[in-house]
Amino acid sequence: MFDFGKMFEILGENGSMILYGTISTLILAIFGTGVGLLLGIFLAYGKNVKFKESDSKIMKCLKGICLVFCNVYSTVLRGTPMMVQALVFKYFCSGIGINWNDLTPSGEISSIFNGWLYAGLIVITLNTAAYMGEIVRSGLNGVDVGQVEGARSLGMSSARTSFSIILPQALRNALPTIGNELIVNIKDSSVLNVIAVTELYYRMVLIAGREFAYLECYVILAIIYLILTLLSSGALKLAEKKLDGVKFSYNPFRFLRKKEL
Amino acid sequence: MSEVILKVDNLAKFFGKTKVLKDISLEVNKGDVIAIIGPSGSGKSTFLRCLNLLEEPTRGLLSYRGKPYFQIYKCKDDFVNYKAYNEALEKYENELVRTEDNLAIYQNKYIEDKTNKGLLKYIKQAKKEFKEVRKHPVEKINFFDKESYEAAIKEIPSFSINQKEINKIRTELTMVFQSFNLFNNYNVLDNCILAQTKVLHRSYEEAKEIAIKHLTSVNMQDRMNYRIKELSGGQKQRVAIARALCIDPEIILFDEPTSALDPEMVDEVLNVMKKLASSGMTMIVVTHEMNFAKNVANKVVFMDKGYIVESGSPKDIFDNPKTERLKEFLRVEKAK
Repeated sequence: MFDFGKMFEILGENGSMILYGTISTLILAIFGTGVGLLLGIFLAYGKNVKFKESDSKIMKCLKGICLVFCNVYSTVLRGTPMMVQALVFKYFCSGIGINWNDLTPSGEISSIFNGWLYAGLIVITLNTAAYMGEIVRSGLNGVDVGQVEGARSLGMSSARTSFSIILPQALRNALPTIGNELIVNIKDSSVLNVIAVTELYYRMVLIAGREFAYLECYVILAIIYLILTLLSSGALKLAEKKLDGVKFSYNPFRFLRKKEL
Repeated sequence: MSEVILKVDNLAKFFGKTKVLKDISLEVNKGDVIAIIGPSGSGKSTFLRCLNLLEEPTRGLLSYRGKPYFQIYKCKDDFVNYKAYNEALEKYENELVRTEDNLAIYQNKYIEDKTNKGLLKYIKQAKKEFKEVRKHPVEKINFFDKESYEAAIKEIPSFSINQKEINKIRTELTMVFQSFNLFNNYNVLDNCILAQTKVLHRSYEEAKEIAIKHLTSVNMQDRMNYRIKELSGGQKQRVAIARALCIDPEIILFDEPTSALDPEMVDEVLNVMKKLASSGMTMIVVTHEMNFAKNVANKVVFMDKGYIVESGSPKDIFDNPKTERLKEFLRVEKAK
């Protein structure tokens, strides 16, 4: 049944391939979450647009378009599976004559940075942005109104208030959910294998077929994903503590230390 | 003769139908400490927020050092014929009730006796009548005297300044809040520095020096690197005062600065405010602390239901109140 020796054999023989796959997955997840967060901030502000009586008709029209676009975007992107979005994107691109394979550079680097990775990055970013929009919006709405009043009473402009006071607090409040999204992205990037993005899952399937050792390969796959998510959630916890100004120790066995006092 | 730095004329604020402030006029001289007292819901806080335009007044004239920064002499509401409007509204509502009752009577009769098909005709008629009445509701715009409104506007034009100038006014008329409103994402020192570097464009070193000076004057110099959530309520309010002082305002508006604090902390904040007052800072303080109003203020304003009922020196207000309302208010306050 399960063969430990075989598992290490596979790891040893296909080490570079697994490493490339892991790096691709990490690039997909981190880039997707980061840029998705940036787009999500714009989306959240777009959704929070409010009509004022003093606005001119053109302004009202623009605001309306902005609202409709943001709402339609997040409804469609959140309401369909990322796998389907990837497929639609792929065939849409080939329909209008874009061949992602042409973008693949030559040389050693192409084993990670190939054309389909770029396509995958676009899909995962657009998909994450839809979720991030809601996450950032909940963060923005969670900031106390008093913070705005405090800033405005000191003469700060509304843009300055948003940038220096509201957004940092909103992002801090939303950080656990943003971290959640990163973990989801690490795992969900595996569905991008449908458009031939050579990430971890895709490569492992190839290896499993070649070595004819399915159980061992998929156990390795599970363990790698687990390690990646554990590391990233740990990093996020540290980031949270750092933002709160709490002193922390990197030593995981700190509870064994005797207290002096 | 001291100069008038803030002048308020006929200030009014309506939230929809409720009139929170009605025709408030006030003059503030340099160095004045004005205490505004009054029961809850009398519009004290709204008045204060109108002064630095955190709340936009409906009508009125606000000028700072002789230069108006908000001027709507007459608002549209002033030219609505309210007497006729209310009469018409009453008539319309009565008519609505009458026709609806009429309809209900026929419908009930029909439910009791379903064989009586002749009633259906009456029900149909009553329904039509009811709908006809509902089709023509009374609208305010029909009672609005547009011509005299436009004439009044032409006589004294309304204007409100743009956002940039409003921000400038706010640095002169800054505010200290009941709920502190310190920036939670910065520490004490950065709270005081931020507005200086971003709004007044001072260099960081200069801003830091000024911040330390003012934090020392409110006795918070040993907590400069603390986060806001590590402070007690009284300390927060003292930092808020220091933050307001840092941008060199002409007037500081205090919106019930001690209401969210327990009695011991109230004293530490009031002591800072007393020190400020004696240094010649112009202050407008909305407060429930009668002792502060009595001993520190040089002018006390009593507000009730959106009006200034009585104003004068603390001696006049507390020792021989003229109006019945103020006498009652002071009696209740004393009983506490």
